[in-house]
Amino acid sequence: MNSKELKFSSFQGVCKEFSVGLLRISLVLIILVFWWCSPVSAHKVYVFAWAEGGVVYTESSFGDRRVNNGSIEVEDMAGTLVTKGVTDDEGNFSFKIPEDVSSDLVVNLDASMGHRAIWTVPLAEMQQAMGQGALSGDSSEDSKASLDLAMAQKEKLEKGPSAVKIVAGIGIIFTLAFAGAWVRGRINQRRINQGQGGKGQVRRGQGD
Amino acid sequence: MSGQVLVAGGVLAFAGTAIGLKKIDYDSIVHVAILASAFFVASLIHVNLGPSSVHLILNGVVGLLLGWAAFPAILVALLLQAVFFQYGGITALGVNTLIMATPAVVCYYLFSPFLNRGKRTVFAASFMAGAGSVLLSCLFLGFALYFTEKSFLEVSILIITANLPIMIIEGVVTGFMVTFLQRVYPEILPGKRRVG
Repeated sequence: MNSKELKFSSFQGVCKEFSVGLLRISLVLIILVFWWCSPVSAHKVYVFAWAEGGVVYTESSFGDRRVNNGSIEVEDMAGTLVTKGVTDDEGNFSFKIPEDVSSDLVVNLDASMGHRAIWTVPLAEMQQAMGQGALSGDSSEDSKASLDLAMAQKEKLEKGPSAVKIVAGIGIIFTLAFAGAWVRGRINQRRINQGQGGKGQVRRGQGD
Repeated sequence: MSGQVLVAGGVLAFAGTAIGLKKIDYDSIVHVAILASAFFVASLIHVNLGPSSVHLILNGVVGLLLGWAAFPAILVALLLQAVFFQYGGITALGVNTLIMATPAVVCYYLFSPFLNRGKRTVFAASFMAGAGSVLLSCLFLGFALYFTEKSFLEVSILIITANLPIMIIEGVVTGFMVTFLQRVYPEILPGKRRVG
């Protein structure tokens, strides 16, 4: 078998093994997924906050369940602590908007074991919630846009992982592996070629 | 986590990944891809347990079957989880890889020598690898958080207690997976691969 045939058969072998491997791992994963398991999101903690009636309401969640007893710290943009507290059983925590609020407020959630999340409440949203938003039409529109954006983000975060993303992730892993196999195959082939060339030169040298 | 922990974790994870990439042979690249995919999907599988729910990790089986190659496999899977599902985050990628992959490699050295024996021994070794890797990961996480929370024992106990059910489930799932693979796909087990 010459070197080209060797390379081809080796690459074919990897392709075949990929297909067989994929089939087998799919079987194992399907068994796992349907064996009293439900796919939902995990290890994704978020805090969402909005201003209404002079109060900022916060909601903390792991996606599938609320953060109970999570630590909340609220800071202004200068990093000064405005207020702090803990979430209740429903993951909620609220605080009155300070009268002298002059910047956006950053809500920091610490849900223990390294699970942290932040949410920024825009100043315009708080001013509107305190009845000051009517002062500027632009400000009011900005606040509404910000709240709409926040709601869209919240919905996105609460959504479970889509099948498309799961398949795309697995596809990327196998593409990387294919690329790795191709590069490794090229390197191996070059080494074989170099080895054959070297031996040939030695033989020629001995013959002389 | 503190900046130093993130940087140190990143450097060590990089070193582990480099060793892992060097140790992957041509024929086992497909196994690395299969197990990286399994790890990538595992965290999406929740097991409802009373009022709360836990998810599979599968770093035990990844380590048991791949050894050092668990580092690149877990790194890629965690990176994709961070990008697609916002799990963990990019900044903590190095530390998370270290926390998941180091116990996997430790379990490989401790339990892979038993994979050439009878079915019961293979199940027991796989169970220990599955449960042990989660336990070690909890301890590593406790250690990493020590630098920010300053209470290693308390944090570790809290993490281990919270993950106790998953240790048992992980052990059982790893046991079934490895004995199943031993029957239908023995080439994937360390020591049974063809020399290529």
